[in-house]
Amino acid sequence: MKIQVGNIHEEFSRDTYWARIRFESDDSSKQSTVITCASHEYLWDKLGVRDLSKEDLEKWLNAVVEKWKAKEDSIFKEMVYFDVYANTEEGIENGLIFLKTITQ
Amino acid sequence: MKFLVADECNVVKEDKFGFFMYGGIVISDDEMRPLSQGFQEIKRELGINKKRPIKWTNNGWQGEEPFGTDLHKKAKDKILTLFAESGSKIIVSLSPQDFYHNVSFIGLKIKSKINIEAYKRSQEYALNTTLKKFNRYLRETDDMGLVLTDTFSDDTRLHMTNHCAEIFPNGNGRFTLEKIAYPVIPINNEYSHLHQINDVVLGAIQYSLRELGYNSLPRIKERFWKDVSGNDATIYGRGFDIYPKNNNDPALEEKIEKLVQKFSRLIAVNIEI
Repeated sequence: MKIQVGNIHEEFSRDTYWARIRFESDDSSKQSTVITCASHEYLWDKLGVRDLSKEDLEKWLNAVVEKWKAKEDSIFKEMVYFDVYANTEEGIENGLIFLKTITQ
Repeated sequence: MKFLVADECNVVKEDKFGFFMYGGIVISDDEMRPLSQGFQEIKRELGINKKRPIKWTNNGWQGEEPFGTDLHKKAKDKILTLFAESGSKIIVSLSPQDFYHNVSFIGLKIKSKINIEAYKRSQEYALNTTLKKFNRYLRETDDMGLVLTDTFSDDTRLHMTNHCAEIFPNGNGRFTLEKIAYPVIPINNEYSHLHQINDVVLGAIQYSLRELGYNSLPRIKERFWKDVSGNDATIYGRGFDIYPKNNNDPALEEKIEKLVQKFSRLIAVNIEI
């Protein structure tokens, strides 16, 4: 499986960080993209750091990559996945709205 | 003369990270009419029935369906612009909701409804802190003020009416309200353009502070009351404040710190507690 991890973007209007991860089968016949975001609150709680560094954000994104990589071929069932990391149900709902907006 | 148009803004979806907010917008007498007319103009432009209220939450009205999502969004956006371009000020006080409200949870879901006694205490405390701030603002601007609240709910109306009578004209013993004209006047926000503008402003503040909510604070940042230096960091403690102060509960302190830091990030100003 080939994996292409995009840059981590900060979205000030949502106080969040987001990125795209592209998965491709070895023969390039199947692709899938995961679009993920995490709220600042979530990362602060998870990593115990208020002022997040580039390394902190990469740590989070690497964990997301590993999670999706573990799905192996089943990841190609869908073309696009949205993956939101938040502390509250409302945060997850808001994150989904945001991710859908940036893909429109 | 300055008017504080005040209301409470509770969390819509209760969860343990929620907060309670009370306060509103301060409007000078010469701005009341232009703001009200601007509000009516927005309705006219968007083809909205002039009697129909516009609030942050999109509800049906007198048998009519809620607004279409785009129309409602557009109306709120125009109201925020109208407000942002005015000379009005914002004074709000927040508190983690479990400081005010005696609620319990199963996971993230609320288990019981708001306890009425705790709710009365919440409103009383919130009104006190807001009036105290408004009075301080009036001292600075050398003005007199009047408070126009939204009507209190059925559960708290009698209690709050009595409370308002008790704290005027001399405050509650710990502070004075010498710049505010008695009494606090409750007005049903359904009939007041200014209360509806306030509702949208409070809703925008609240949604900005919610997890992954849309951040409208930069648009209205200049409207928060700050000191005469104009330093944005002084918004905290004036136009935007969080209670309780100096408590001995580490869990509550952590929540307050997180809320302050959230606000700091959203207005892009470094605020230290």
